[in-house]
Amino acid sequence: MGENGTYSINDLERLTGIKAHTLRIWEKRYGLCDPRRSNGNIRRYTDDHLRYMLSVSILKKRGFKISEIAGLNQEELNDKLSVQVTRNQADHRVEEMILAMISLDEISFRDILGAALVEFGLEETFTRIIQPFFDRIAVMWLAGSINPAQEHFVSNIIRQKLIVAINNTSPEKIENKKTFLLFLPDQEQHELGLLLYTYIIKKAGHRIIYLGQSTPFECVQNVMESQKADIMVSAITNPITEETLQDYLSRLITSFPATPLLLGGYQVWHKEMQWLEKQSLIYKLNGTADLQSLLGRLDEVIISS
Amino acid sequence: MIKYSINDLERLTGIKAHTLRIWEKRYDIVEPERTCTNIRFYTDCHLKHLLNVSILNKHGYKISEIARLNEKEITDRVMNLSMNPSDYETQMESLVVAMIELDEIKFEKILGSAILNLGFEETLVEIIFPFFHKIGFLWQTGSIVPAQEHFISNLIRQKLIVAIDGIPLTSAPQQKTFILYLHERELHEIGLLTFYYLLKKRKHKVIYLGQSVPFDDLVTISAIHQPYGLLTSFTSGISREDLEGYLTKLDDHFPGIRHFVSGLQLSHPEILPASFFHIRNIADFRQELDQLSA
Repeated sequence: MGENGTYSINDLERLTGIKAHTLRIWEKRYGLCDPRRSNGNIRRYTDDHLRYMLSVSILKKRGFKISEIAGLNQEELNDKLSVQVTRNQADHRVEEMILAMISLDEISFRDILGAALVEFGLEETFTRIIQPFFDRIAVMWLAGSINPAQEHFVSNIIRQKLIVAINNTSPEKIENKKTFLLFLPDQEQHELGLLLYTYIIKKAGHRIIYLGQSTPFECVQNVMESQKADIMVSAITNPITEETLQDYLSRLITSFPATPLLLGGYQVWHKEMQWLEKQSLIYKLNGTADLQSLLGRLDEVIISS
Repeated sequence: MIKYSINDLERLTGIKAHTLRIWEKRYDIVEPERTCTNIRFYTDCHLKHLLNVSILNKHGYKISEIARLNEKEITDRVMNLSMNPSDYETQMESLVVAMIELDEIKFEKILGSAILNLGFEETLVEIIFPFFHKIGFLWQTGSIVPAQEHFISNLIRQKLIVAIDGIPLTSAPQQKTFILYLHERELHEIGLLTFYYLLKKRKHKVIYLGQSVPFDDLVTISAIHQPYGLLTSFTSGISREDLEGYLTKLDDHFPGIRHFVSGLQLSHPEILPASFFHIRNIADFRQELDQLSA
């Protein structure tokens, strides 16, 4: 990582979204980016190369021709980029957050987050800024360009804002109040999604039993027996095989055959599981809009189970 | 259904098993169920009832008197008692009831009134922290189930985080920089958040890394930010060997940085390197912070 960190051409492909093949062609044809070579004559890229290629990739997506981009000096490149930035405030915020994260600058990070919350509200901030932000840091993490502690640092700040929002939300007064049980499977620790769901459900006026991270199956069982939750909510982010996921979910729905399960998280969004689609008790949450719409037709969800 | 033995009940309510049997016989104060082999076991309902009975009993109600009250009369009286701000013990016990019932509203009520009367820091020191200690103990003895512990930990975490968030950050020169972290297999954050609150309130700069931080990252971040102190806590089970190994590593890798350590697992403080500050309780830590600021 950092100054001495070098990236392979595959790292660069992942980080910029430009195919390795294309990178080689651009290098040859336009002299775009001149990587160092290792002893074994393998291309190695520095942080500067990476930043440059990220900029190129942004401009390319905006419709600039590569021959055109290759002719720009650094200053012209920055000018063109800043136009891009004002066009998309949300993207800009993501960039700023990444900078604040790398320097562990809590005050800036909070300022940016705070401004976003004021401008977009909690849910929009999540879909437009925080989610893309985590997508970006996931890629950076893969490439070893940030360390997990930096991610911990920002996750904790985001978590703090979410928990404050949950604490301060005034639930709507509703007649048809249900009990929601929220938990993550054993060993699962990525909580931000679940906290966002908590906020939305609590705000809609329902009762929350929040068990949180790494909840053993027996815990879910205990609560289901003593409290009769109407709906379970969970999320799966850690890498998991389809088989393990299916085992876990089957166990849940066979143990509580009358209780629908709302399921979100990265692993659920990115898996094409036919089995999952066929389960009438499991509702996939692809975003907060899904959750809102389910909350709007709860009677149907609960009866159909 | 959660089943409690008579010994669990003794630990949870503080009423001796012997006394429980007498009350049962003489006043029908509870009627436990029996296993096939005729051993007493108790349910959540029994437990809640007995916790309340125990609170009233400690406040001078005679057991014959309590036996005549119905459930609502009992809970009303307990709720009144638990609103007395100087009675920490009763507030703690009422929190135990809220935990067993998974009752967030009751939890809010008790803690809310405590915070109003004592302020957050005193509530933290006098009620939340001891309460959490008690839970840790009850959990270790298997007297409460993990679901209850999860539920209550998350609510306490919420209150702590809201309090931390409420202290304004200033860019004015801060006192000292602390990095707060837990080792890779450690998830129990309540202690760490408590220290976070105390530090932030005293205008120290806190870099909060939280749960499961890889050792190498800690080294990297410390090298960049040069903190005055590193603070951590050991709650999850860890072998004495592993713990000693980890502490030695800490001692070796951070020249010039002070280590603050706490947690249930440090029951053999003699294994701590001499330069480490062992936070045995909050009073300790507050005193140390006072000296730092002086």
